[in-house]
Amino acid sequence: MFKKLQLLALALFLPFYVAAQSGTITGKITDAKTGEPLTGATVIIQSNPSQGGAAGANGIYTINNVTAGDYTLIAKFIGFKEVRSSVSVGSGIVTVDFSLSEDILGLEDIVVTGIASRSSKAVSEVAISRINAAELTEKNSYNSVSQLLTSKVAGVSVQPASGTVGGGIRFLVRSGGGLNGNGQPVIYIDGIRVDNAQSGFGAGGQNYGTLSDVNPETIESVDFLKGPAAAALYGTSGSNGVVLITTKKGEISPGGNTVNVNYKYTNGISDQAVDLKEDYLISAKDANAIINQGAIESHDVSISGGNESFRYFTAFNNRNEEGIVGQNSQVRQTVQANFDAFLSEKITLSATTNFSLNTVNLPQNDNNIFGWLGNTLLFPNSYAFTDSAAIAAYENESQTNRFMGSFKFNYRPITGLSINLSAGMDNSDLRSFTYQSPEFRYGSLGFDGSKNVFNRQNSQSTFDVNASYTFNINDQITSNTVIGTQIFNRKFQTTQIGRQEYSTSLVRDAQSAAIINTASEGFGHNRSAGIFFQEEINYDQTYFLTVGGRQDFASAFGNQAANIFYPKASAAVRVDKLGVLPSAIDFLKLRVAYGETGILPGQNDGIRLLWQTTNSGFGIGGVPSSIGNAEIEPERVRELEFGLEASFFKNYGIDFTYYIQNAENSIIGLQNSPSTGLVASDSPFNIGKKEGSGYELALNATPIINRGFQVDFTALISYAENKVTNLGGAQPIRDGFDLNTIQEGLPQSAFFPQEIRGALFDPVTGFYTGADIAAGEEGRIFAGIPYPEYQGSFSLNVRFLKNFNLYALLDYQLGLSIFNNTLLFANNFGNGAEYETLQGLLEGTPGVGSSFYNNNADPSDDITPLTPGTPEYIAAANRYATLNTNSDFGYVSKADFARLREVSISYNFNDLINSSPLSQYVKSASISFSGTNLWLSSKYSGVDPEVNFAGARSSSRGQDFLTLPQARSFFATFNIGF
Amino acid sequence: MKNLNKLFLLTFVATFTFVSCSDFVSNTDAPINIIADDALTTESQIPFLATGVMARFTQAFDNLSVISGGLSDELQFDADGNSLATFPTFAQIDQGDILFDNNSVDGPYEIINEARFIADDLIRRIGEIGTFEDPTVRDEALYTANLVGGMTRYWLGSYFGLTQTVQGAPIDNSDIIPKADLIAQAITKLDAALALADAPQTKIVNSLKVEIYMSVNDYANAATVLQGSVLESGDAPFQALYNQQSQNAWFSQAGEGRTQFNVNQRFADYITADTTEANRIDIVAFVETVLTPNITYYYHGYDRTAPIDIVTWQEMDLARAEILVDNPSANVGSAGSTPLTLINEVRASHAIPAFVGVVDQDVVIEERDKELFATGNRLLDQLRTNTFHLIGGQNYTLPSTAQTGNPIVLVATPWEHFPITAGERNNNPNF
Repeated sequence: MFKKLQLLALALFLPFYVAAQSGTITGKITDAKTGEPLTGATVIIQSNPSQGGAAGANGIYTINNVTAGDYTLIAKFIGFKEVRSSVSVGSGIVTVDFSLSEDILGLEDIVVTGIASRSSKAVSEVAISRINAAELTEKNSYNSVSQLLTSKVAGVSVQPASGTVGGGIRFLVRSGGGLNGNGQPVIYIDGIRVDNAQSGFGAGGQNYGTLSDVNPETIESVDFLKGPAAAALYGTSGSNGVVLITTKKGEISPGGNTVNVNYKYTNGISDQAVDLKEDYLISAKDANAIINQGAIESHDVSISGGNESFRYFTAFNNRNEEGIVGQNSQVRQTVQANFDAFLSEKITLSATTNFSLNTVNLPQNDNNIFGWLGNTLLFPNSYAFTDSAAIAAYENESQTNRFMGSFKFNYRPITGLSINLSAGMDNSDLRSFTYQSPEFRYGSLGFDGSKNVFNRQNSQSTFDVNASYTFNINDQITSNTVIGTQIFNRKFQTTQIGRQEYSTSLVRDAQSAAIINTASEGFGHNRSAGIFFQEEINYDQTYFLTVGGRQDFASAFGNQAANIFYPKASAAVRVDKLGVLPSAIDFLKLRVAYGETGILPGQNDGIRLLWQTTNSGFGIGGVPSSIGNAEIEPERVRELEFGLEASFFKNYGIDFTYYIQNAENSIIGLQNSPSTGLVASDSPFNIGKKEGSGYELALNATPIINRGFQVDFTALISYAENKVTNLGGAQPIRDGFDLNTIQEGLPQSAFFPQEIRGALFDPVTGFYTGADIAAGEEGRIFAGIPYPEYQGSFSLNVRFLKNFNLYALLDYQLGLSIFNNTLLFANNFGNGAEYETLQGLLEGTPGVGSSFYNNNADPSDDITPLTPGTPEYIAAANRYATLNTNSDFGYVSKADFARLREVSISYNFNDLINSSPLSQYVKSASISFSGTNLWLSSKYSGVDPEVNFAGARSSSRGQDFLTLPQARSFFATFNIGF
Repeated sequence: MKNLNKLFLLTFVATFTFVSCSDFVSNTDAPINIIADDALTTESQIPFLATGVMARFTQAFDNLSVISGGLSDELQFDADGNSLATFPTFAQIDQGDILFDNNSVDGPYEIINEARFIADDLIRRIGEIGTFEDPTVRDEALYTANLVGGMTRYWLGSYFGLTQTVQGAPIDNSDIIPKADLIAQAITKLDAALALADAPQTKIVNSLKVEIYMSVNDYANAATVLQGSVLESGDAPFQALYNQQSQNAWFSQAGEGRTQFNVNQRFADYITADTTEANRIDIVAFVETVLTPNITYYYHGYDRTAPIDIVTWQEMDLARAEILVDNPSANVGSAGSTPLTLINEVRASHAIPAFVGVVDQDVVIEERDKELFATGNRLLDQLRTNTFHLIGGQNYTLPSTAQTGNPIVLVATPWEHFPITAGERNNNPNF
């Protein structure tokens, strides 16, 4: 056994060199349209995928040592349709040339369509969305996965919570799945379920987002399974979709064992995208003055290569990025090493490893009196709360050491049977601290400095084993059967300590502060496991049918929570193969899919009453911790989707999906009346229901393509709606700021403030007497939703003068609203320009006046008061009433927007290199100039409609309160390959 | 085909054998920071639960005393200057225009109710345990539970109400229980505590009963209790205790930590009139930085861990003085004392010169204003003496409004206590 293990280890780390009496296959791979060689395209032998060759700069590939016989060759290249060709190999050289056509719809991309199934768009029965990240990172330098994914997939919104570097993101997938959980999809990287938490010390509202540990440069592709129809076999927690990130792998090198070395250097700046104006906030100058130019610098080195037996990809990244306000930066180093070993025709071993060291400093913005924005946006005179030097000295840093690794074993003992085993882990160690120097006073806080330290160890592992067997029932019908199991185990522990009162600023360790004011420890351990099966039937590559299901188990107390079954079924038909379509339609597939998933209750939701300790001057005692429900079970989310893919005139494609989602047994926390004393938590009940639907449309076109010029255009359009249909009689659920509402008949998280009907007037004097604010629950009114109804993007890629490339991405969102709480508070504190002006117009009206009086900054000083009773007075009073700060009504703003998200222009030096002696040393080179967030047009009354003061996970959504807007960035990127 | 079948069978069995899923997911490490309810049913856990009752009791007290200070004329919400007052919910309290979903009221209301619940629940548990190996464990816990059960009922009845002017509160999903009934329940509970009290505890419980009777101008019953064993000069006060991990709310809401509420000018005027008043009115002046310079004050008396007096011997003397002003022949358990001697005994305890003049009820109430500052008593004193300062429709002046010349106009019927919260109104089936 030990010898076998030794052999296995040897196989992992040493390339295999196979020598045999055999023939050679060679040829040239070119672009069918332009005749250009396709450098990097590969040819493999279908029956032995590990054996193949890659095209060099001249398009020539070679496969050596091919045992004599008849084979089918497959030539493929990213963005092109694969081509198959039969060949007979003897002892000599056989030439087989390939001419590949562009794949406008991406029909040939092999993507993940389920937990143990991969398919191409040409035959998939579910909607497929893939981002070819490697193509994007060639043109741009993305600082995070969030930036990489934004506006690239129809029906998926990736919302950053602020412009804070290193902050969190919120995915909004389709109509939002169920009512429970945090609404986030499950994220897998190379088969490992990874941690996507927001952690560390919140700085106002923003937390450090753990997905910022991931280097986008190492990502090859991202697949989205957008709902239960596709994600049913992922089981519980897949109801908000599954994001499958695949990192880059080594490719067969042209000519065999050459090593590819690539270096990418990025240098740029971030700056304020939209200046504040004084006709919005009186203190605009001060607020604009705090914005800095943030430097961006990144080095990426990758080394890759491989042959028929062993392939590798390794990469190192060092990225430094500063935010546009002080105390915001990110320094990230990552190392990625991926290996694939083809031990025999039957066995493949793969390993992926990633280590990241990520340090994020967060500024004190949002709901915070210690930050730059809180001190420059609220008052006419800035820094009323905290001195600027004190703000600059406030530290909030999170540093993570994180390892993600996976091991995969694929065994193909007989034709058609594939056994897959994979295991992976995501282990991270986070240390966060905040520090307030004793040299400064923070507000009127009566202590001399403080330090808070938080540690979090998170360890999670994923284990999959499955077997897939494909066989031909007859000449026309093929069956594929999959069975397997998936196991997930997560354990985390946290420790936190807070200390206050330093005697000196010369030391800053926690021990040197006199008082321990907080200390806590947390721990959690949960597991889930699922057994799944799936049967796929393929009739003549024309009709496709799949049925399957998953039995899921999870660690959750309670009678009903731990065991649940999720079914799925799907079908597709290739209409283009039926011979009924006009010749203009090259491809048409219709599909339908149905699936169910769920969301678990909280791990302790099934326990009737739990207790915890509390501290007091009398000692440590016991008090209630949570109130549960022993009958609680998972929320169930069902999805039915219909769709089609088609291509026309070879250069135009369309992809359309309509879906219906339905959630029931949603877990609603019912508040016990406080007089019961059971106030430690709400009690969970399966009483909620939600419905959602929408459509997604993607249009692709390559109207012009020739040797020197090519235009590619993509338009994404999606619509989503949802409605909470039942809360089981429970009271509406609101966020902590009493605005985002979950209530029967409303979309989830709708803005639902008290209506302001207008102004009230004294019938005798005509004076304005107050705002007519509707009272009670019946006085609330639907004012919008914090996410878009319609969203989409237009991207244009133009290659001109053969080696220049221009890329632009413009995206938009319609039908969303944002609560401008910044303006509400600024008006309260005399800093809102319009509000102050209205007060000037209404001067003399009893009870109307600036809550803040400032001779230097109040614009109302120069305004002639209006006469009560005049139409102008009445109009001003009505507007003043609308902006009454006792209701959020006047501050929920329509926030439709369009943004020029990405622009880049690049030049490829490859032709120059190939025609020069330099080609002996340099394989490729390119340079690009890029910009992000270059232009914004929005209805929003504030600055940026893509913010949320409470971060990326809270029930407060779409609320702007002293939140840092997205930055505009410019950068240059230089790539060189050896 | 045979091999194929075997292989499939093998994989199938291996898959299901490898993981017995149900067992696997239930085999997780136990939580370290939560306790199942059924683990708290033994004698050994009773002191732990009793300490929890006291912890919630003290938390309820500081939370309630801060907001009642805000609703009374002790404290004010002043958004100007560096007082850092930003919470609109505190502004509502200050002006008596309180919405049902005011979360600065929700918190204290919920904490008081939780303290009441766990106190009552502790009595239930003790009853279910039955026989105790150590009866003192039982008796001390029952004393605590009854004391807290009584005081929380008093607070619910006195500081909350369904409408602006009528006090009362529900208990355990009941309909509104009128103030008088809740006070009667409170006295019953305190009497139950008395039955288990030692001598110092007896003084405390009786003193609390005096406080309750005085809050409803029930001089007769107060005098009767005062004739018994109450806190006397030299006795330590009964206090709510805090520490660094459970800091009192005054520090963070109306004190040095942050001043959502700052102190009414009246208290600075007391000190100006007699500087020795600073011995018991511990306020600090600070200059606003945003407006034109203007001095306001914050309360310095409670450091973050400072105990807060719930009842003191000074309060007993002032109660005696007030009763004697009303009926000089009343027996208040302090033979030979007069309102003047009683007041001056209290003043002397702070090294404040003796009062000279005629002591009437106004004098006594002013002495209470100073002596019981920041203990939550002022609001009830204002209500029982018909001197509540918020009058519907009238102007309400803050330091900032004095500068702007734009006084706030109060609502027609300001709240004189705190509204039963929306959480109760919406979820109590008997409402």
